[in-house]
Amino acid sequence: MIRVRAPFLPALLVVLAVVAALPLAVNNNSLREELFLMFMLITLASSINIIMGYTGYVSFGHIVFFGLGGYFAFYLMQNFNAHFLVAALAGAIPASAIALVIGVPILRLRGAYFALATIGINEAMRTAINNFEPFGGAVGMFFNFSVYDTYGGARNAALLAYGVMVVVALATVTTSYLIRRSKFGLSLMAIREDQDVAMVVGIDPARAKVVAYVISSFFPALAGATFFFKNGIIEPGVAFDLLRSIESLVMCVLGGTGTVAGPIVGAALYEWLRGFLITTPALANFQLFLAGLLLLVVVLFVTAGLVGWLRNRYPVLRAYIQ
Amino acid sequence: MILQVDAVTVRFGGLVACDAATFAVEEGEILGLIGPNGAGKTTLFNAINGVHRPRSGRIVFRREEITGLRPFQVARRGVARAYQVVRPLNDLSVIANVTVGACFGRENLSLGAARTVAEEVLASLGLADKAEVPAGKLNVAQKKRLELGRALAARPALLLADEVLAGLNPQEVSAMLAVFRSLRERGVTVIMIEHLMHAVMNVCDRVVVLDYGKKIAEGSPQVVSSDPKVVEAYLGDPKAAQRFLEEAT
Repeated sequence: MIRVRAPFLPALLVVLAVVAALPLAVNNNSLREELFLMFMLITLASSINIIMGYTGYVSFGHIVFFGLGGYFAFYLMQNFNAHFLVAALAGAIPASAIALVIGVPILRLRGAYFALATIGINEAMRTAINNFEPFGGAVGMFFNFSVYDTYGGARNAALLAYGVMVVVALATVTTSYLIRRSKFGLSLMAIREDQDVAMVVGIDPARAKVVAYVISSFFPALAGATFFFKNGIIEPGVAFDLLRSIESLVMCVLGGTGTVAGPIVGAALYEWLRGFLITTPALANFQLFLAGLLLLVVVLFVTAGLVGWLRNRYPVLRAYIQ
Repeated sequence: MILQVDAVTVRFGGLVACDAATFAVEEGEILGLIGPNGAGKTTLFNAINGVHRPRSGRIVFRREEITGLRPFQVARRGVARAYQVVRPLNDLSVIANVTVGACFGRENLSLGAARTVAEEVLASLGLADKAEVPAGKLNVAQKKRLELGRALAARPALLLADEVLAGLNPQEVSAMLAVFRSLRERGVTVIMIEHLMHAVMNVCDRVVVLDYGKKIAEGSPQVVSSDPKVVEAYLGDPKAAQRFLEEAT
């Protein structure tokens, strides 16, 4: 909505790409593992932001698409020897199709009822997969190590997974930015502010919400496919982990919902904080307590999140930080 | 004739909010819709723009039946609405609010073109200097103007203005009336619900009076305001109405 265009997106992508290249440059595997997780969290938080931050619908059980994408891709790789890249795409598409099917009815709900419905869907999906033998039931599925031979061994497969996760994260951030700057994004924000008014000015809310929900389901599905490809094991408890869902909501709130940079800042901050708390002996036992306390402080005093607070405090920044 | 409301009845359970209301609006006129509280004026607006589906009756807009269409479908055909209780999109900037109106209404403009329209509308309403302020931070008079601005940005063929003058001071009212007169010059048809009688007398070409959901009078503002049935609807007692009219003359 701002005419003076600062090159926000290119700058952001360059920063993320430089961070992503860091572990490769210094050949540090543990840093790469940490960043793999961080880019995954950026993907999850930025995707949730599309439906929660822009549209105002808190998708509590959004992790269901991470799990579904992971399961579909894993199944294809294990049973049909599909290449990882093909399987990831082929797994994400049905996951988004499921988002379309469940989105149409549940997006009619408002507020807490929608949030509860998304939790219900995640739990129902976990239970269903728990009893679905082709997907290995409660035990899940695991790769024979020889699967990685196609990619030149486990080490190269891990590198490939890292690269793909970075690309997925950058694609998510780019999509989030493009939506925010588009007419479609404006319609989502109008729905967030007042759905009845949005309808009266000529927006079809049902359609816009479903489109936003389907887009926001696609990237977590890709991330799930990548995560479980690298993991080599997939089981219902890990794939449909509600805690991870809640964590990505927290990252969004921490950084600032409704902004492009917010979920990224939130994800980085949350991961850094958790690492710091766990590795500091005096604080390690209190890490969840302190993380909870921090969330409380943010919700009570910095409702706009870190990025939102900066934008409100210094309006000049609005042109530079989206 | 731009709009025809034909025997429209809206019920909420046992309550008949609109009872076979019938009237027509000519292209380019400003029609006043008046009546005591609870007469069904706002409900009638809701029926016209698709928020409530009439139990029976027909609504025809520009020779096309729009009865039962969804609100966004009615909006895209060129009907815009300004609410009685202002409903700004609080977290969005003032200019974004008006851009929303321009983007999704009749013209379906691109974001850039909509923004240009929004800037023009804000300038004409004296809100240009507030463009980047979050809409929630405006005062009531500014919010009222914003509400109207969002509706006007859609460049509607028909504007439904629901008590846009309520709560404004005399200067603000006369500024707002100037806006309505300029609308008439631009050929925009307006139906305005209004309690401020001097405003109705001033700008309306014709007035329709509702009471208990029924149309009880229709005609020029002068004729309608001296109609005993209208005065009775407002004052409740036919004798008091008679006395009031005699004292007035």
